[in-house]
Amino acid sequence: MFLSGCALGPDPILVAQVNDIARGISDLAVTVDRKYDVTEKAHKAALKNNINLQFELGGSPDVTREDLFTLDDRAARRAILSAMQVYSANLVAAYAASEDSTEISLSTTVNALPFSSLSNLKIEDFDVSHSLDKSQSKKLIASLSGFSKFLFYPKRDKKIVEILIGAHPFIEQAASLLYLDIGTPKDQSENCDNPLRADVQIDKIGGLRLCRGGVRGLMKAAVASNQQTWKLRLQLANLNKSTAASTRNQIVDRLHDLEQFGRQQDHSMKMLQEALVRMVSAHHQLATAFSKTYPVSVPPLQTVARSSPDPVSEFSAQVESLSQTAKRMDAFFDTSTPENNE
Amino acid sequence: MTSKQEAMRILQEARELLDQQDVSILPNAAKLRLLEAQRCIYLEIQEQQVQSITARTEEYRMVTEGLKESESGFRAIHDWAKSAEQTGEAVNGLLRDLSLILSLL
Repeated sequence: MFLSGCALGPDPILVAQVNDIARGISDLAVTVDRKYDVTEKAHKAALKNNINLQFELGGSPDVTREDLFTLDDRAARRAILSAMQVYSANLVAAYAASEDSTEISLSTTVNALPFSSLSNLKIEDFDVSHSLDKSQSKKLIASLSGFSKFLFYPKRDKKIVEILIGAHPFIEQAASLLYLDIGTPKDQSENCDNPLRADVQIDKIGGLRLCRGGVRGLMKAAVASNQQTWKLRLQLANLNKSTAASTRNQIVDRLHDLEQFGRQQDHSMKMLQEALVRMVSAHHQLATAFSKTYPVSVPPLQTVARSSPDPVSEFSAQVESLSQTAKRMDAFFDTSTPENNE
Repeated sequence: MTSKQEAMRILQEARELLDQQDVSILPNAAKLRLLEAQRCIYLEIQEQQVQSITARTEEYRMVTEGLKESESGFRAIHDWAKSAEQTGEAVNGLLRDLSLILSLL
């Protein structure tokens, strides 16, 4: 008697969710990291514009470079963003890399799961036609090759539930830290606060009254400083009757561009903060979905307010759109800029 | 209002006063002093704003370590998959033996 083909293997809905959340986390990590970069560039451009104008007026300003972020600060952020990417890639590799799980490749930290030999089994490899018809042969192979999968899948799925639930507090803390780091461009109340620790509950973070600061505050100040120097340039250009109208137009254009850049960056970073909250909600949803399918005795997850019935795909879609627009606007200082006086 | 907020308020006021200055009436040396003062105020504002970011750096390290603990779980899955592959190879051998026996019947 032969076992019929068992319905073992990854649930296609969970596979889609794992893929969505992994793509979202990966894009989010890249986009957040880029915000630190572009803020540093905006700071550098503001200083350079000021220094260049001092030189143009015959001064000899201090040209010591003063970065906003220390190497240590950036390294700590890159480490968490990288850990988030590795974590999500491992989830894909362990569960969703291949729907029939015949070949699963893990990310840089964990090598490929060796499951390929099972996929190589073919009816033609075995001459059993003397005694069995084709359908019986098929069933034989399905049952025997499914045997090792039968041993593997339940253990793996239970472990994935444990991993998701174990990692959830750290995903939430990472999101809180990054949210607070991004900060706000102005005091949100007179009694504002700048929490430093990661234990701010993510579903309450939007209700905090933050003090001006963080990456949004830094960006706003850098753009304002740069604009102020351009305004001085415009005043000086107006004093000099021989200054060409085209030069004045260029200055006005730059002022407008900076205004737009600052507004777009702030909006983009605000959206990133929302995406960080959604990431936690999406991860919570994934862990809940897994634990319903493969119940195990683990501590319950902390409740996270759901923003939609499908937080995973909503998170993934939001980050994809955010990542594309951010990539374009973050290139603002990459080309030769007037602040560089080139 | 905290002392840090108070410091930021004073810096903002100083910045606004400097920004309102009409450069057309200033001699060149004063223009240079204005630019230098703007640069110094700007750097001080940024210093105040970046402090909370720097203060979180240690916290980031702890969270990163916590998240990396998941790797042992993925490693376990990897090891089980390896073991399942060996089972699969055994099944493969069993099938070949079985097919030989069946062909002789």
